Formats: sequence, C-alpha cells, structure tokens
Amino acid sequence: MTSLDEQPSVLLTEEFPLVGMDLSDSLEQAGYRVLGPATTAAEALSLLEKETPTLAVIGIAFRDTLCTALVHALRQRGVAFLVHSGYRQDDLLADAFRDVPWIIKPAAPEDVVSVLDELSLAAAPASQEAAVDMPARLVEQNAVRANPLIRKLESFAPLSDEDRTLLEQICESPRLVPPHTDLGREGDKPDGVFLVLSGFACRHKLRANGSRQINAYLLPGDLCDLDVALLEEMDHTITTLSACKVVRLAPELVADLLTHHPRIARALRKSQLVDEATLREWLMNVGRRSAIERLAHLFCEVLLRLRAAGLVPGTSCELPLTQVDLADTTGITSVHVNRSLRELRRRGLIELEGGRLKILDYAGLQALAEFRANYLHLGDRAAA
Amino acid sequence: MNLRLQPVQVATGSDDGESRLVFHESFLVAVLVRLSDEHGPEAGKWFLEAGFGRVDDPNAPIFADLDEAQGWILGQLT
Repeated sequence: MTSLDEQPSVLLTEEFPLVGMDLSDSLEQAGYRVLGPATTAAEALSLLEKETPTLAVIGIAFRDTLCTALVHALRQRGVAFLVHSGYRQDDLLADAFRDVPWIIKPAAPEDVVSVLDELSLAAAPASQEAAVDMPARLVEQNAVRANPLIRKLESFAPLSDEDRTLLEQICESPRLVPPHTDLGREGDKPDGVFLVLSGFACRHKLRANGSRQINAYLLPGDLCDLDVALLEEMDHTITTLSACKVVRLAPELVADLLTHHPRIARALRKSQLVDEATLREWLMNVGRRSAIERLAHLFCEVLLRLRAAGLVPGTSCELPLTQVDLADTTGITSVHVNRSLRELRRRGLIELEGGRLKILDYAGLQALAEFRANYLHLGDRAAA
Repeated sequence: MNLRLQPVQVATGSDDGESRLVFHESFLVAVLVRLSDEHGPEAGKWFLEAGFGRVDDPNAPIFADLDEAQGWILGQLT
C-alpha cells in the first residue's frame, strides 16, 4: 500500500561503516528509506541539502566540529532525530539535547528502530495523512491509539468530558525514553508518579550479585504508586524495557487529581487495587507454577492488559522483551525460558518471533496456566 | 577435593539430554546438562540443571566446559 515515495526516510549518520550498514539493513526491513549512511557530519549535511528526511539518526562523534551544524540544520527543518552515542546523555552537551532520545552505543539495531518508531509516531499528525510519515506497519497501530490511560480509567469509573480533557492535557507532552533507562532508582527520593503511554517498562529489584527480579510490568495506561511522594526513598527501581513514551506527574498534580476530581480519583484507586492484585498473582506464579505455566500465564495477562488499553484488536501483540527479561519476570533461568517457549510453540499455543507474540490457541494457553482474569477486574473490556 | 562425573540422560522436556551426575565423596551434589543446538550461541555449554545443598544456586552461570563447571561446583563446596 505504500510506494517508495511515501515511505518515511531516515538520514542515517554513523561513524563506523560496519555499524552503519547493519543499522541501514534493519531500518530498511522496518519500512524506512535510508539516506546514507553518512560517516561524517559534512557528508550528512550535503545529503540534507538534497532532501529533507522524515527523521534522522546521529551516530557520529560530537568532536566532529560540523556535528553542531548538522543538529542545527535538522532542528531548522523540523526533523526529529535521536542520538546513538558512546557517551551518556549526562556527560556532555546535556542542555542542548535534553529532549532528544539518546541511545547508548553499542545498541541492538532493533532498539534504534523502536525508538525511531516512537519518534515517527510522535512526529506524525493525528490524521489520515499520517500514513505518509510512518512505516506502513505502524499505521494500524496508530489508528487504535486512543489515550490508553483514559481508556483504562473509564473502565474503572465513569468519567466526565471535563475529566477526559484534563487527562488528555496531562498526557500532552510525553517524554520519549530509550529502552533500558532507569526512570527512578532504588534509594532515590521519589520524583512524582510515572505514567507510561507507550512501550513496556517494569519495576524491579536487584541483588548484590546483579541478578534481577522484575516485580511488575508497566504497560500503556499504567502508572506507578499514586502516593509514592509519602515515602522518603524508592524501595525498587523503575526501568524502561523497550522505548517508551512517559509522562511524569508531579506530586502536587497527583494530589490535585485525588482531591478535586472524584471520578478520576476513584478510577486511579481502583487501578492501584488491580496493581496489587496483579502482584499477588505474580507471586502465585513464581511460587506455585511450573516454568511453562508461568510463561503461559504471563502471556495471557499481557494480551488482556494490552487489549484493555485499546492497543491490540486481536490475539497478537508486540512483546518487546528478551528471553532474559522473561526469565527475570518469571523467576526461572533463560535456559528454562527457551525450553518452555519451544514447548509452547510445539503444542501450537503461541508463536513468538521478532518481538511479536501471537497467541494461536488462547483457550489452550489459558487452560495450561489456569489463568483466571478476575484479578484484572476488566469487566467485559478485553474478553479474548 | 575431587568430583566424580557419571554420564546420564536427563528428561528435560527438550532436546537437552546429555548430562552428568556430579558426585562429591559419594554424594550427588549436582546435575549438569549439555545445552543442545536449540540454545543458539549457548549450544554445547553446560547448564546447572540442579544443585543440592551448597551447590543450589538460582543464579548459577552457564559453563563453557565441564572443567569450568567442576571448578565452580568445588568453589561452592568449599
């Protein structure tokens, strides 16, 4: 449906030619037309003279003196870009790049693509013409992209038009956060409530030896503890697993919502009860289910939650998780994850490839896991 | 301190079958399983399928070969 001309274009700059070629392949597979890869800022500037791309990737060193000129030229043309750099964002030029998605090198090409997808979605106008500005595979996704927070809260309590407008306003300027970025760390003073609008984030705890237990997923429409501001310090860490769009709600804003907007307050409290119920279910999972049952249970839950947020129409969904993420979620080794996924596939229950989960036999998966969706309190929102 | 290895097949519910029972002073302390091709880059390495007593560790590494695995098991026992 999309001709070459309509494909979104990406100006790719990458100082290392091999990395550039690799990234270029991944971008093309993901539906982008690649300009470059340019290995220097000068080369990128001359490409930019010929054509204004939809998006850009800056993968060249900032010691390249023309890099500043390139960034300036992109800004002038309104081209959204991400930085793929060996430096951390805090290390240099932090002010000039505060709002720019930043991926630490070396990153997997998929991670760069997923952040670019987010940029593409954010840059696209909310109209039918959006199709021109993003890869075809994202268009459908965008069409069902009503505000997931509103969708979720409305199922917990009726909201007024005024409530909906207020929630829309709150979600207006999300921050694009690259994968594997800590939003709040254990020991930090809580800095407001994080609301995830797209992507997967998690709460987790680390042992001294570095082993990690993921305690919850924050999916689109989910937010972390409402009353976290009452605590002196965070007792766990919140991290993005994939690229995410995130909004931080200041404690005063949360207090205002809870005090002056009773319908929103009721829905938020109910949502918090569901989070607690989900944690109980996860405890059940790691304590009393076998490896294969744990994964089956998790997949049933994630599908229903994404459906409830209005993000998934059928029985397949994006699952931007590695086998290590799944292992750390279900408290098993990645060897057991690999074996169990193969067994689930062999039984014809799921397919999991390229970050996409397809549930082939929901009833079978549900029976295997003894999955009962009651703890999600979904009503009839996400019946599968 | 010596370990004795005994070849055995373990029903892991996967292609990972080739295994070793690991004995220390006539006590079974661990079961090691060789990872099959279905594990991609980890294929051929050894996995602590089960550890008993002080060898029990949910975060054990995957071992490049049996020597490395035995070294780690001995480390746990001492």
